[in-house]
Amino acid sequence: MDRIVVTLKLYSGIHREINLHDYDPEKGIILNVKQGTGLRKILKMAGINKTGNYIYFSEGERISVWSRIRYSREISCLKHAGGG
Amino acid sequence: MQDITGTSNRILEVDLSKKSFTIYEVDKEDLRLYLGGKGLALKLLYDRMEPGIDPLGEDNMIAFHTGVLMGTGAPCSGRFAAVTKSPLTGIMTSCSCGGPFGMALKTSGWDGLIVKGKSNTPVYLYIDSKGVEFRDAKKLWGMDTRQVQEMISKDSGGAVAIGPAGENLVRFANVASGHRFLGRGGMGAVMGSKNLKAVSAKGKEFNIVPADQKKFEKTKKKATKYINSNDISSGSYRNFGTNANVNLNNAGGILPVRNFTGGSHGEAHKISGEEMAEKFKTSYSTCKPCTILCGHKGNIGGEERQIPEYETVGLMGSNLEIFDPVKISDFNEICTLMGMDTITAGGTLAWAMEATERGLFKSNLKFGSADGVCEVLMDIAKMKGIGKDLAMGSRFCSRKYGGEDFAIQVKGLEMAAYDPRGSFGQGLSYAVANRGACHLASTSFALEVYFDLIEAYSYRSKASLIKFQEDVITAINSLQTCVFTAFPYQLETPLMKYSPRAVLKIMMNMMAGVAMRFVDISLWPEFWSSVTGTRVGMTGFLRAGARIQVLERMMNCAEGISRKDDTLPGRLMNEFRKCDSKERPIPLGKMLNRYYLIRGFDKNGIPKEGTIRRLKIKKRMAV
Repeated sequence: MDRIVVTLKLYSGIHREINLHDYDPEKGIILNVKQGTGLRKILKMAGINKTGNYIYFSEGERISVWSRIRYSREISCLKHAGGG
Repeated sequence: MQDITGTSNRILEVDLSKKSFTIYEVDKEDLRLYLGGKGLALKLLYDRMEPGIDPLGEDNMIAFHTGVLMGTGAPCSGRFAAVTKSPLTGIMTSCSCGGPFGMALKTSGWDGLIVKGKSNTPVYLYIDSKGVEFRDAKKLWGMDTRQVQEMISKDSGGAVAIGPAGENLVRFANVASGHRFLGRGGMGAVMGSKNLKAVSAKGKEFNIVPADQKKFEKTKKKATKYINSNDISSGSYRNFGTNANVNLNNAGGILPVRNFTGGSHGEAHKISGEEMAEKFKTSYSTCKPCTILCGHKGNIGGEERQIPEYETVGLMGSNLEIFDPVKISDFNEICTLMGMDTITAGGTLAWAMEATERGLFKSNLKFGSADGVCEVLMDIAKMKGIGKDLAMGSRFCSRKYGGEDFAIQVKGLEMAAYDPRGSFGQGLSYAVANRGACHLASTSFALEVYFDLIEAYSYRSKASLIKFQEDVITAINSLQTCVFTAFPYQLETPLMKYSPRAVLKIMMNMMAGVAMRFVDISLWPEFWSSVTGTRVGMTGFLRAGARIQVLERMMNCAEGISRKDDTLPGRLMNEFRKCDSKERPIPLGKMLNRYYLIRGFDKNGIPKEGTIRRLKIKKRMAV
């Protein structure tokens, strides 16, 4: 099966919560995974175990942890906020 | 010190022309129907002001009003409202502010203050429990908002003051109280037109005590627990301030970029709350009392400054393609000191940059460059050079020079920093909001984009959602507690917290009208009831919100507002962005029809007689 490259960008101080001290915000976490891998599995690979604590976006839209990632793309992981 | 139980029900009416004041006793039925704060201020002006008056004339009035929770120590209750007819939009505008003036006014024994007329010379008002002193403000005229508050603070517990922008009648001049503002719609210009530089109140003359102390303490304990356990109030806001929204809105495609031509930008993280917290070593600088702690200050360029709020960063940063937080802070400082609304200033600058690019307007402004922005902001405050036109806002400029499609405003008020093309409900919200393109009338973007509980690109459920949110937020803004309490007070209730997300989502999308009835909003009416000693339930609280909302609409309709004004700028209706995966026009017409129906408006957007009667809105009683 083809492999794809997923870039996880962490915001809201999430890298500190998961003890990722050498996290580079410019690069994010780059993972090489099988095409069609579920987001939840990708997050666990990156060390994010409490996946329900955060929200995920890709290409301007919310995606669920149950989404299957079928092509290379960037995924943003953030915490909730409420407006300004 | 004497006690006031809940409210004094006394309001000062000041006539600047006659240099006199009278005391008005609030009818208890009006307090119950309009809750206090914004609601009661609107009702008082409805009875006193004729439609069609000049917003900068003697007949316009400005009402400052505290809420029933002010002074009780309830969480996030240090807020007060001001209502007037806006010189920017020509319709009613109302603002909520967290500065010290509200507390000082209420603990001087007054629930509210109405100012009318015009002084011949610059004055400021000094208020204590005995009444009003008219003090000479010639020496204060020309001072910035910070200087003037320092000058008059010796014998005062808090003040509201205008800067040079208000004196010069900049149509979006604001009013400062401490480092917080009555921001939108040009209240500063209304004060300036009356030669009123400031109002200060002595404060600390009375204790405010709840009527039912035991019930109040119980409610306060529950409210504080909710605030401290909610991710938004105790997490994002507390850690990163309102700028926690920058990365979120960028990821969700609703961040305004280059005058609303884009919804995200690769450099947005540079102006995010996370970045600023680290770079500027931020600490808390909030309204008082506050439990959420979203206001932050930090060391910027070697001096301690207030961190710009999200709306400022969105409109004066990404929307101008400027991603330097120090520059944005510079713009924010100028607006703070001169006394100008950063949302309208940012929206108008973006129009000027695009109009310059298209050859419609002559200026040195260009997207992506901070060069000349500070100078233009100063020119606006002084009504000088190109600043003279820009000081009138983007609607005026676009009518004069062209480019109405890309003047991002509704009813003359510039849009806040959430692009509705990524959140259709927010489009409806902006279109129908009483004061114009305001993000605080209802916050649909949060449920659509952040929580993903309602489909963002559908018209379904939006009318019910917007009506519900408008009613709740209007009632909160009349109770005068912080609107950010909406997240913990609603989301931490057992039903919302423990219901499966999928069920909530189906309910919200398929049966929004029913779903809204299950949302637990009991904390606010419990607070109101425990402080006043008069019971108001959830239904009564929501109905009061609806009543205030419709009253404001009626006042605006009397100024000529109807369906034709409930619209969005051409750019947002007809243009698409690179970040949109497909072209999805906002179905505004469909959403409007449904909204009017459930609001009880006719097809032209005018409240029906039956609606007015059902909400017990009495005919104007000339006072």
